[in-house]
Amino acid sequence: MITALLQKLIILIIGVLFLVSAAIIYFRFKNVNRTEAAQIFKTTQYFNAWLILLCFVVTIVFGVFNHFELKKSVHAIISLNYSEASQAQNSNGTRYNMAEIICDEVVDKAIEKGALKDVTTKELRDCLVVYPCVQGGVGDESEYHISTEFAVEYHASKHTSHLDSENVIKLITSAYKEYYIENYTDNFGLASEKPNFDEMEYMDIAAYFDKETLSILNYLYGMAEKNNSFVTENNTTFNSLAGRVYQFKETQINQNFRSFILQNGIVRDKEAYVDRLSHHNKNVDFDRQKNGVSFDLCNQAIDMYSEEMTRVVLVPTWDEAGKYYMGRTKVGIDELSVLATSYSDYVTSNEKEIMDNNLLIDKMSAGNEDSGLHESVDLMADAIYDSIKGFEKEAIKAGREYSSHKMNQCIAVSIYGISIMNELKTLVLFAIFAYAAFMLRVISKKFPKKV
Amino acid sequence: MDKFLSPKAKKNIRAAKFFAFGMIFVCLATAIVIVLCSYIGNRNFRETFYNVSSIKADSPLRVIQLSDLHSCLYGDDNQKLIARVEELKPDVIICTGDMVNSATDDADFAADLGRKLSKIAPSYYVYGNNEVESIYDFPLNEKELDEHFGFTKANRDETKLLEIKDSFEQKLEKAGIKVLKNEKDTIEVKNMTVDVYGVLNSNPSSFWSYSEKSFFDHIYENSDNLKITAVHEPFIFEEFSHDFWGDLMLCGHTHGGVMRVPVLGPLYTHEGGLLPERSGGLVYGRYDVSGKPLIVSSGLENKNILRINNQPELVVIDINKF
Repeated sequence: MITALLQKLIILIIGVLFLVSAAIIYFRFKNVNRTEAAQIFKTTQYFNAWLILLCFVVTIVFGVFNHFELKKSVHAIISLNYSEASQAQNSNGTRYNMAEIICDEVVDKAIEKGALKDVTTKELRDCLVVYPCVQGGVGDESEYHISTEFAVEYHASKHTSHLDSENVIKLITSAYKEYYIENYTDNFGLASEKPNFDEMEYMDIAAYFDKETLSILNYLYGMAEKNNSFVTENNTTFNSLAGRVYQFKETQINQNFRSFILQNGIVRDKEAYVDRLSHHNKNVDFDRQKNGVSFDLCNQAIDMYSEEMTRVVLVPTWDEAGKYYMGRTKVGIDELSVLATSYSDYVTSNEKEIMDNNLLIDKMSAGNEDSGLHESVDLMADAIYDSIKGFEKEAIKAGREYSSHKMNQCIAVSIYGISIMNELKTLVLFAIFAYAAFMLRVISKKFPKKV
Repeated sequence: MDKFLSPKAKKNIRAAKFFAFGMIFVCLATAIVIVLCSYIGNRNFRETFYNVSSIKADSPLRVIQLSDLHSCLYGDDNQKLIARVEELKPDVIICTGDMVNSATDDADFAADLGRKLSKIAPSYYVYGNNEVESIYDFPLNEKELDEHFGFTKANRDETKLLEIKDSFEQKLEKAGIKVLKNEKDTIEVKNMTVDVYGVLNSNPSSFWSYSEKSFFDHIYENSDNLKITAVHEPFIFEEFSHDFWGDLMLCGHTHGGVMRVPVLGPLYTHEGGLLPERSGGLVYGRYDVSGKPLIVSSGLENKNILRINNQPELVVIDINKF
């Protein structure tokens, strides 16, 4: 703050000197005739070594204060490089909000990232301004403009004068980029820790593999939905990769691994596993009974409806061509039919699960204790796990490639600090002004006080 | 002669002399003030933040680079420096050489620094020319290395250079900071795998002949890992073009050109001479090398009185996904 004061003080002194000297010349002008006045101006030595030196020193001092003052202000331009930006959207299609660039969360993050001391979020936020680089008009539709570039300005206040301005703006833009990535871009969070297979039942391992491949498939189908024609560096598409994962799931996990365990009744802890399945079967059987009762109730309710009632649910309506027809709407009777069908499906599915579990119980009860088989399954499990991880890596890599291609670096930031040329221009102008003030002072002294 | 001059001319000469001396005096006084201010300012280091994008960075990663400390101190036992590094919460710390003036005399200084840094985050140390000169009896250029090991181009074995063990390395390793001599270290940080590779012989004449295999292993093995290449001198990047040096390259050595003049830039480096950036030298800041960022630190040395407009710096690099 003191530099700003001193800078202004120098300008004030020079300005006052200029004005006072000009006023003196104006008031004393009447004391001389035109020829004498012209003589004064003519005989004045405009190259005055003393004054040039004085001017030089004053300009240097002013330059120092000016430099420190300019250092307190810095601005950055944030450019949004992804295609959705031209529609004022974030990369995930939500509405873009430039105010988020200096929101509390971003400022907080900047303070944390830079380990900035003695400054609060509010104090720092008060020093920041954000605005679109190009602003259109609102009067006419042709004047509308969606800016994809935003300027963030930082002007240090007395609370933040101890901070390096350039670092502050770098931290703000960096924190905003992190905030944006966290909230609006794709994430590749597929990877998970490897579970301890030694403590898991083989069929549970198979279920785990199913879950993992399914999450990879979901990720790939999701990416394919965004862009199914995207080809990676390895000439694969999301769909082709998903096809390979699906094939692997069907052949390696279901046909080979699961069938091998089932055929040979391979189990680590036979009793515990069979108990677990039996208990599970009891629960499923309860569900089956409950669903069966619900199915019967729906059928009874349908029987209770009179035929007359079903006829009145036809309502007149018209089609897209504007022609009338009688439409059937879903009323009570339809709803009950749909419910009955779904309960019937549940019952079937419960029965199938019970049968599958019974098969498992039968196979596992006759469990194979051959340690060679256990070893083979362990090896198969490890190999399948490695393959799944390989697919996972490929999927993540493809996703990253796509994201990188789509996001085009997402956000680009350019920081603009002090311009040396601007600073020099200011100094030259100040020097001319200061010299003019000094010369006016010299000239004013030559005018007589009285006639 | 003076007697032939008119009084007005004499007066003008006097004024011109006064003006010339006055200007010289003011310029000298200004220069002295600038040097003094810089010298006082250089007692403290500043932080330079860089943002780097790498699609391999699933979550934000912070790397702190310390370089060219030359046994200087910031507070007792560098407490000020260490405290600041700790406050900035790095995920990886990399020292890019010349942390000491002599690896034999200042080994304890380096070990103490290494011990403190390694408590904050996984830390790495790459030798600079100062360490190399005091550890090895010969310069690490191709000719001297070949002569020392009795190699020819046909039977050159780059592992021989690494077999030379030194007590400095042992002290640092004991302190918990990993010394990278033409080798990489792989670490898991924030669910990301990061490979850090350090070049021992950053002399361009011996780089390919004595580092090629290890460097290619670093670059081409596990290409999904985030690759950081740390070298003391930036000359290999000036001399050779290569399609991929790493996702991030870190260097030091140049001291940022010692004096930096507005508009002109860095004034001098030992190897690049005057205005080294004008002749394509990599002197200070961020450069683009094969599409990836190279950061040349101006270092933390603070005793050079000519270090003007070039405050010692602690480099903080934030790596983000985009």
